[in-house]
Amino acid sequence: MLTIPILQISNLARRLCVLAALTLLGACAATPNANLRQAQHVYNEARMNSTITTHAPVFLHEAAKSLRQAEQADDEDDINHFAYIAHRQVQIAEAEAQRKSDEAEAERRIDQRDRSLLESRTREAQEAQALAGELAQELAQLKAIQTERGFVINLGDVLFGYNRDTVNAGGRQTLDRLAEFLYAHPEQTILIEGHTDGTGTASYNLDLSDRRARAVERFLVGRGISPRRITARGYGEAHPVASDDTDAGRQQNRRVEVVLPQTGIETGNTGPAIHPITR
Amino acid sequence: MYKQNITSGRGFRAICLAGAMVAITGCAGNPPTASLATAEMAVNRAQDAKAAEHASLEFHLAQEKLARAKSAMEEDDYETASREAEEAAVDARLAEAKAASVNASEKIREVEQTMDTLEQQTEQPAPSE
Repeated sequence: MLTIPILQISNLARRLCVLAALTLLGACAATPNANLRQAQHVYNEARMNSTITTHAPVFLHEAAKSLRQAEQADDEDDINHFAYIAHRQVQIAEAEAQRKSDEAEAERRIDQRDRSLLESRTREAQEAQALAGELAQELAQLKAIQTERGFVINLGDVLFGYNRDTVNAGGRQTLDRLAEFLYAHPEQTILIEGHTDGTGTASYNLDLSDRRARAVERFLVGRGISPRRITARGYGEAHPVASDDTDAGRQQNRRVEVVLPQTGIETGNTGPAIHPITR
Repeated sequence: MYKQNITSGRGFRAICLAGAMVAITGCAGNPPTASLATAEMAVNRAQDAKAAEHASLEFHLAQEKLARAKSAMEEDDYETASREAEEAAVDARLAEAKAASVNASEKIREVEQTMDTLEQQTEQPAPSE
């Protein structure tokens, strides 16, 4: 009793299905919608693009759903509408994929930049350290002592015979080393300061200390160091470093000191600390 | 068997009813307030992302369609309102995505520029006389 209407209904349904299928086929064959085809085309292209499939799979999936809606719609307006949406979703997927890959690229380059920045800073630091080490070694060879005025090399009085202002053979070795140092560091200026012991008059000692300082200057200029980098001056007996009561003390007081006002290697500072005195 | 037949009959009728309901509401039923709100939100987001500057056409289209959706809504033309709102939403999302993409490529250029400056600095020897 009940089976009859159900059979009837299912028959009707089958007929309706066939009819619907025919209409759909007919619609597709008769009016191939240009917008839909365009959307299908861009979607298929996007699906082949690995950048899009990896970076924007969700938008692509949304596009596929809209495309299906467009394909299943039978009203021309609906087809156009869903095709439009699908097309836009593909474009959104493209833009998103582009953005993400650009962001990844920017990230990669920032990393690269930071790495090379770190490398060059490390290299600079190493170079500076090596240079400082070299300088320290050179200064040590010259027996330079660090003071608040800069590095000071005490040439002692081995340079001179008593009362004389010429450089002796033993002093030449030290001064040759100093000349080499000045060659290696062309920005380095020096002060040459002559001192005597308290024996004799002050004016004589002042003159003697000045001549001694200038003898050292002459020697260095003779080795090719520009006189502009050198300031030579005598101080007489005014600055003793030891007691004048003993021979040993007096010997310590007879001396020429070379001051390196700044070891301007690291800073690249070229200006002399004190202007040379006109001779 | 008997029972199954009854249920399948009822099921079929329910499906028919639901289909009819969908058809009715889809065409002329409820106003598409949700779609309109979505579209409006998408346009605002695009505006915040400076889409007017970087994706002017898409942004303009989104604004136009949103306006059309609103006026269709006032005229109780829900079908038009729904379509325009949905299209406005995808236009706005595309505008936003494009603007974001422009930002990303600008970022690459910025990094490149700072790299160039750095290279020039390191290539230059330390000042000495």
